[in-house]
Amino acid sequence: MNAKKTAYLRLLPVAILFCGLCLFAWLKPADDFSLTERRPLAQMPELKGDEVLSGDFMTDFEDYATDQFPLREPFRKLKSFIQFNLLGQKDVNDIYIAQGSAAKIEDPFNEKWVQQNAQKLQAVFESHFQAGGSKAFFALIPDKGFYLADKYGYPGMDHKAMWEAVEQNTGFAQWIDLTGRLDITDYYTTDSHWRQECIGEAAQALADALGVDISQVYTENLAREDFAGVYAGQSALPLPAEPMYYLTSEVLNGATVFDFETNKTTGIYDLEELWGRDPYDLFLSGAAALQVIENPACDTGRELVIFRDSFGSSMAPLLVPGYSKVTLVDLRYFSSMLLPQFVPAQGQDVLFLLSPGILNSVNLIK
Amino acid sequence: MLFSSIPFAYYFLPAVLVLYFLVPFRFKNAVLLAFSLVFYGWGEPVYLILMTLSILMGWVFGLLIGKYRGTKRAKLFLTASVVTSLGLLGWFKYADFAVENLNALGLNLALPRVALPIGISFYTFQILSYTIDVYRGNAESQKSLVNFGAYVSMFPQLIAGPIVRYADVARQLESREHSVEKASLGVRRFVIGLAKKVLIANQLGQLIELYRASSQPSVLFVWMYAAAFALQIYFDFSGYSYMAIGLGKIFGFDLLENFNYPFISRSISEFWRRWHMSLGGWFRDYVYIPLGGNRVKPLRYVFNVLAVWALTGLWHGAAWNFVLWGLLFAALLTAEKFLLGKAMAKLPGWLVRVPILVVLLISFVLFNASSLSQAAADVGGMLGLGGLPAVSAESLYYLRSYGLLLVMAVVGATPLVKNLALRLEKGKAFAILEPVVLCALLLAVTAFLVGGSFNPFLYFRF
Repeated sequence: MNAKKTAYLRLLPVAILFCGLCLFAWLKPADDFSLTERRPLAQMPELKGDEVLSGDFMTDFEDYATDQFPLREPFRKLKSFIQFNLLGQKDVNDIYIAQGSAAKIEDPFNEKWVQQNAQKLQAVFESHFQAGGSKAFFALIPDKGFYLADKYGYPGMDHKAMWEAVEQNTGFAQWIDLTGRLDITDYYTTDSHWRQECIGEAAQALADALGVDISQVYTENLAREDFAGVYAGQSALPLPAEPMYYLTSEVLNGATVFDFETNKTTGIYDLEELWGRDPYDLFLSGAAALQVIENPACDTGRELVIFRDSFGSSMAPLLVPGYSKVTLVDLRYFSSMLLPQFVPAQGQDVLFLLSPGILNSVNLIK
Repeated sequence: MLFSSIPFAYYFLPAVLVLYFLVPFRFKNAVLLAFSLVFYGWGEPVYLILMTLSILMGWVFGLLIGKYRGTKRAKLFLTASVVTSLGLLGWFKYADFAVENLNALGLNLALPRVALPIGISFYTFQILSYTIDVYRGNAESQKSLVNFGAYVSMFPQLIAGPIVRYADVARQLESREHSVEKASLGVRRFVIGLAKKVLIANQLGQLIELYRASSQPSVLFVWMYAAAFALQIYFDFSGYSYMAIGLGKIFGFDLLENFNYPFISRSISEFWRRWHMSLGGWFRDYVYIPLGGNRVKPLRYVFNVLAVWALTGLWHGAAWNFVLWGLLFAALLTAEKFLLGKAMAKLPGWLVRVPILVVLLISFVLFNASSLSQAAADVGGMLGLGGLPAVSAESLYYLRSYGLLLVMAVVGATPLVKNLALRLEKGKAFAILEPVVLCALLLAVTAFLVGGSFNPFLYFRF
């Protein structure tokens, strides 16, 4: 084969591929949102003199060009495939798969942060609730890393040290151990959260400690057959979609949820969210600073305040049958300084139901 | 703008290619100059003024030196060129370092806090090579400002080299061949260089970040870090040089090689004949030989080597760890010349290469340290000092996770793959296989860029 023919053979396929991708990139209309990554995509920045001179236009254009590149999702999957399968990396974007379930490598245990956060929570309870006769309870939620990381040799948090530190630093509250009430199959394989239909035993442990009766006859409802959780999107690994269920009962059907931010009253489950950015927002409409669940079926007048994170959205409904009113506070979005204004102390049970990532962080709890 | 970015690969590059090949030859350098200025101004528009000033000064001094060559005036203009070029480099690169050191001696001066313009070390050395070569009579002065501007600012090698000497491309600026053969070789070079940077160097960079953030440091992890950094900087730097040479070929230029499998070297002096060859050549021709080179008395030779390597260290960054890094090589090269050279030549290859690799790893750890104390901690960790455990669960995990990549990088840093390709090239299947591999690499690189992989820029301090 002569040199010219070889050169054409070498050049043409690459040139065709390159030109095709260029044209596609230049002509493709911009998308607004990446459903798998659960984030808005950068848009074409406006060309202004001062933005160009400051370099902001260039930075924004780089974000736009990368975000809006054609075939974004297949390319993300290709990258993960190469990292995971060809380069043999054990995690992709810190997400690994063990026992068929995806989990994230957690930040290392930081005793100082855990102590600080525990002190903050203690101050919240003692300054606001204790005088009203409230009793505090503390349950640390075992996340997926608790069941997978040590067992399969993944780095991250020292869970034993974490649990010991939290228990030692939350002496103001009655400790509730959930670790033996759950196992890895109680969690979505593609998401960080637990499955509501699998956490009955953990809910019962909480109820036993709180001293309330939450027994109910539940109906298991299929919400979606093709739920792909946050880890599926973040890692772009070929994790099979899975069914998502939610539990209903007469009591839950009659309960209402008031959200102080949106000033809206809804039901326990927000079915519209099933088709939104995060289907897990089905439970209590997702992340919220302050919500109150009213349960007209309970006439004891007993109230519960739960300081929670996203795991609480699917757990709190299971505790509703035991209370007339359940207040949900997410201290990541709600300043504890506002508690007297919105959550008057009236001798409520106070449950701190948090996952390790919240306590093992700096400045996340307000 | 980085080569390893979507805006460069899929917006800037097609635009410059279309316009470059549309215009007649007499406008091609103007197109290159215009796009090179856009390329440079993309990240730091304000430094376009500095770049333009440097080009203008280099061009004017070159004309004056050429006009008065052989007279005292030429020497005067050369001195002015060297002083102004090094003055600008000194201010923008070394002002803060100098003030910090003066303050350490007891002064209380305010830090000027000067930001380092990207690529200033590269284009300053190119301008100096031009004016010196014109003075020496090795090159004619360039009459066209556009041609000279294109030479200084040419985007393929502007921010990460290789340092192109004017004499090497003077003729090509006036007339060069564009052909399918050359372009196809350029495309191959560019795609392979991009893959070296994005698929290997950037992934190794992630391991380095993990080491820095480690909560369980261990001796194993420090060695993994040292190996990962040495390989990262090699694949990053040689990948950029590959891309530059490839782009140069597409635009008709033949740029000189910058790397030649340095990690297979049997001596430190051989390593420096294979690593960043354009910088080594520059210091050899414009500093070392004018100082007398090696044809001097031993003491003077030691001084020459120390001077060149202290400057080489400082060229890489304004910090003492770079100076120490340079002086380490000065000491090694001196020891090789006077003490070890003959013995090393007689030893079996592996017996020489292994200790050389260990020394190189230590040198790169020193190079990458953010401070002398960090350098001491890292090097101490490699030697088992500092009470680090031999291994930790974390280091074992990352060894499992990055082991294959490290092995691939080690193999890729030797001529094995190249030799295999050369052998396969003789077969007919290669003609089909090669474009398939290149397309696959382009797709893989694009996937990593779209997926937002770790993409550091290692040359900000050069």
